Amino acid sequence: MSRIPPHMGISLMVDPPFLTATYPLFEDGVVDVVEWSFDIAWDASPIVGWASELLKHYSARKRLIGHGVTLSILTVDAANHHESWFTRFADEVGKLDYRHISEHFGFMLAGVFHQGAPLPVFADETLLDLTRERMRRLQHIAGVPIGLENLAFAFGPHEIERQARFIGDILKSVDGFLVLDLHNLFCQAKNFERDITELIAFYDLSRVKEIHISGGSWSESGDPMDARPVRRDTHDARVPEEILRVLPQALKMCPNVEAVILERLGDTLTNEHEISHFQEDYHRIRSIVAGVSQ
Amino acid sequence: MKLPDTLLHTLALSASSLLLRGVPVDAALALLLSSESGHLAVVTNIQTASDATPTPPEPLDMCTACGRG
Repeated sequence: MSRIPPHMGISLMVDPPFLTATYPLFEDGVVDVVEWSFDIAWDASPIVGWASELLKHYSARKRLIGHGVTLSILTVDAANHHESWFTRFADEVGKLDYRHISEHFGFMLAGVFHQGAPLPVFADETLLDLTRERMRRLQHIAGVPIGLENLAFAFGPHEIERQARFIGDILKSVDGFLVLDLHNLFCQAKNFERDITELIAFYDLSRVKEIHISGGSWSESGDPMDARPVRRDTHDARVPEEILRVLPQALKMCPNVEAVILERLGDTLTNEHEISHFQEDYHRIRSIVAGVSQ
Repeated sequence: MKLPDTLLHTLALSASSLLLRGVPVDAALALLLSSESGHLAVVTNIQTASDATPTPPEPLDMCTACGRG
């Protein structure tokens, strides 16, 4: 039976270079869906006019996806932060019509530590209960399907599979969906010398509603005993060839994917070379996604 | 998804004004020259008619392709 190809889209950034890079895509009508990290904009000045108009357009056609960044769902003790976040979230979903909304597994807020990539926790029943409660609150306010994204980071090779199981338990308890971030898995695969398709298979792929694709960078580990570079999900470079090679297989393994999103930080599209590569990646991914039904 | 002409116009006008806001000229010029909608044609003409060293154009009051301000 043939399958309807997922929608192809971008994660919207409001930096001026991002509009420069994406205008030709909008002009060609090849952006089916837009993802918006709404909470990043909460503390910024009013959203620039062109971005606001785009959000309204995609919202009105039920082609807008929400992707929270700052909830920090697995921080145990941050009641003020969570109350404030959920209050603003209720206001957010009253303004724009999202087709589904996701957040990140893990935490990025703990005491004075308040900035950086989301970090994992070790699974236990108490944390599962806590996360389930917050996911249900998210679900109640959102009024649309909710999900979680897998992480790029892991404390060790054996923790990768445990993360997948914990995310699976959380999602099952609220009938949530998974945002399968292929570059995050690419980071784990490179940092722990695993095969990315093996890591994909750790997840309940029937729950994948959305796939994220991006590029990243290598950093020095800082460990004098282990000089191997560390792969990070920094969204500042083009998509690795290995991810493009794996994408057709990932799409086959995930029968319920509705959207594939290309992520890139707007302020990293600083010259014609970078912009051209970004547009090339977009068209290549779109072509692969369009072939999913064949 | 095809965007309506009015929204494309908003994006195009914002994109053209990027030239005045520090976006590298080669990137902005690449955008203008690759545009097919017509909204950016007037900016392209101004830009390509300038000296070999591109200088940012003045902001436009009106788009000559569709007449919108």
